Amino acid sequence: MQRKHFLIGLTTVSIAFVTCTYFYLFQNHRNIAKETPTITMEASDLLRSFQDFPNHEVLNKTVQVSGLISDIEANAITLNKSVYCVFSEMPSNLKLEETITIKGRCVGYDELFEQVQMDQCIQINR
Amino acid sequence: MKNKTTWYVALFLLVCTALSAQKKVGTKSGNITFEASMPSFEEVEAINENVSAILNMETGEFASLALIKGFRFKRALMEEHFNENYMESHTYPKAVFKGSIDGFISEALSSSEQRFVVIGKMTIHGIEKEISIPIYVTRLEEGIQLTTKFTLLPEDFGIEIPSVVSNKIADEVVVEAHYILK
Repeated sequence: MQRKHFLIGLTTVSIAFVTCTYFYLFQNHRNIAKETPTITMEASDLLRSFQDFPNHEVLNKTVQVSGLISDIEANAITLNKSVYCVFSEMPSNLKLEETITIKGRCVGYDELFEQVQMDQCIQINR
Repeated sequence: MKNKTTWYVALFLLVCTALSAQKKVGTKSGNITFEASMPSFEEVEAINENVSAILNMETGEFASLALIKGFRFKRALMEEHFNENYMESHTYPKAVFKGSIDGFISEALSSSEQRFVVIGKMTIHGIEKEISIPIYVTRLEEGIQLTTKFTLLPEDFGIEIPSVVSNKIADEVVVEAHYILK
C-alpha cells in the first residue's frame, strides 16, 4: 500500500518536473504589444536621456513614445529625428509631420545616426 | 559690394553642403546573422535586421553598428542567455565596426559584384580587435549593396562559453552581413 502511494507521488513529481522544464526551455518570446509601458515620454526626451546615460535603465523595457513623424521607411518610421521605430506590422496611411504615439521595446542608442532604436512597435493612436 | 560677397559665400556654402551630403550613403536596416551551431544539436542562430551603416563614397571609410538586444533568436531562452550571460548587453549594448575599404573607388563600382577588403577595428563586448575581412560591393538601382561573411572567435572578445554548453556551441561564429546603402 505504502509503495503504491510512493509510486503515485513519484510519478506526480516527475510529471510536474518535466512540465516545468519544458515550459522553462520553450518559453515564449515577450509580447511587447500586451505589456504595460514602463515609461511614457516624448521622442526627443528619450533621445536626450540616452545621450546622457548610454546604459539607460529603459534598455530592453517597453516604452511608449510620441512625436512627429520625420521619416518613413518600408517597415519603420523616425519620430522627431530622434527615435527610430521598427514595426512588426507597418501601419498604413502614415504621413510625414503627423503626430503619433507608439509602443515598442527600447533596443538601445545608435551612435552612428544619433538615434534611439525601438523594435516590435505598435501604433497607439494618432 | 559687401552684399554681393555675402551672397557668393552663401551660395558657396550651399553647394558645399549639397556636395558633402552626396558623398555619404547609409542605412538603418542592414541585416546581420550569426550562426554557431554544432551538428546534431539545436541551432544557435540569430538575426538583427536593424543594423546601421554609413559609407563615405569618396574615401571608402565604413562604419557599422549593431545593437546587441536587436539580435533575435528563435527561442526566447537562448536570446535571454545570449544577452545576459554571454554578451552582457546591458553593460555592452552595441557591436561596432569602424574601418575603411581598401582601394575603394566609387566611380569604378558596377552592377557586377566586386571584391574588396575592409580593414578596421571591431568592438564587441567592450573589447576592440583589429580585423580585415573581404567585402563584396555592387552598385544596384536601390543603392550600394555590401555583403560579407567572416568568422569570429568569442574568446577574442572575452566572451566565455561555459564548459557545460561548450559542446553545443561552435568555437567559431560565422557572421554574415548585408546592407543596401542609400
